[in-house]
Amino acid sequence: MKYEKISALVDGELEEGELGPAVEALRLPEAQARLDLYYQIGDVLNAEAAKAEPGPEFAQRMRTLLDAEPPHSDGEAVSDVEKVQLQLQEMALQQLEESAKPPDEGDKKLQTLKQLALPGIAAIAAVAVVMSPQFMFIIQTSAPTVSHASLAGATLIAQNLLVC
Amino acid sequence: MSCVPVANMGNPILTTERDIDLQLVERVQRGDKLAFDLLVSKYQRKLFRLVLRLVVNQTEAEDVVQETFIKAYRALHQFRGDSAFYTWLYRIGINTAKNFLDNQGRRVPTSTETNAEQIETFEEGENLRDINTPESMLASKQIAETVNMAMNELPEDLRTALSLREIEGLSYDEIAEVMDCPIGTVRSRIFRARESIAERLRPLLGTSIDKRW
Repeated sequence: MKYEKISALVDGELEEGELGPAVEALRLPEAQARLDLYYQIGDVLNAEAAKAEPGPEFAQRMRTLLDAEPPHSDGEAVSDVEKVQLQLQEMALQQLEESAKPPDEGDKKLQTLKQLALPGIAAIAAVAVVMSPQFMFIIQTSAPTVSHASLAGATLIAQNLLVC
Repeated sequence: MSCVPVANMGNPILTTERDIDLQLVERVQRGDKLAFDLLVSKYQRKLFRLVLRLVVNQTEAEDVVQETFIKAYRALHQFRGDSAFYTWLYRIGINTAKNFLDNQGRRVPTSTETNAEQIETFEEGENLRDINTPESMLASKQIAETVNMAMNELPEDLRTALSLREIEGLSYDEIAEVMDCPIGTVRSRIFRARESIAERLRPLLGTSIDKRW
């Protein structure tokens, strides 16, 4: 255990209060020699490691093996649905802002009803999007426009529900 | 581990390798297999060098690395980013290498399974005895051969700890995480590994290392 602190010093891993004694110990030639030797061992190991490389076919074999693995796909689908849900929430907020404008007296009761019902309706529309096989197909196979397509469907559902 | 600057609305922020790895892992978890290819490309050499220190044979090391990546890929849904991806990967790699050696009946005992005295006084190879030669023969090549030989004959836990430190550049804290042991044990293992190698260098240096200078 005589040189354990020297070893930790080489690694920059001395604990608090150990640096002083370690530096003090290094006044002794044998401790200095140990320090040099530890560095030398590290240099040799690193030089040797630098020569070690996987074979040329390794990357291709690895890719073939990974290609045979199924993707971790659940999260991706959820992520797209979450996007649609967020957009629906935004739409609902826009609708609420619209409805916050001073309405005609005759529409007041209906407007209040719509305001109260909107978040629930948006949620129902989102669930409808999630549950609908057509929408799921669109989500999984299309690009960014997907969300717009899904959103258009969800909007339609939400509007129909509002009309009702 | 190094940091890379990432532009963010005109304000540069530092993103660590760990953050980047975590983002790649999250992409894999969402179904993006290409992101895992990037992780493989990034870590295959490092993992190979580590594993090669454990199983020694090149072809076997490649097999162990492949198995490690496949295991990591399959278990990736369990990875939550509590530790860095590379410490998690190295842990899988070390366990896979241990299992491989066990199955081959070739596992080198751990330091607790080996008498400490035995480590320091084991029979040296004939080639080492033969190189107890004049100072002029102490070429760096011989030193390198001795260091490598001594390294390969170390008990598994000492060899792993020193490899993770010297070859992979992990901190004691990270090594403790990979090896699932206290940080004090890591420090002790690295020190004992270095001492064992230093002891093997003694015949080359002609006298006791302590009395050499």
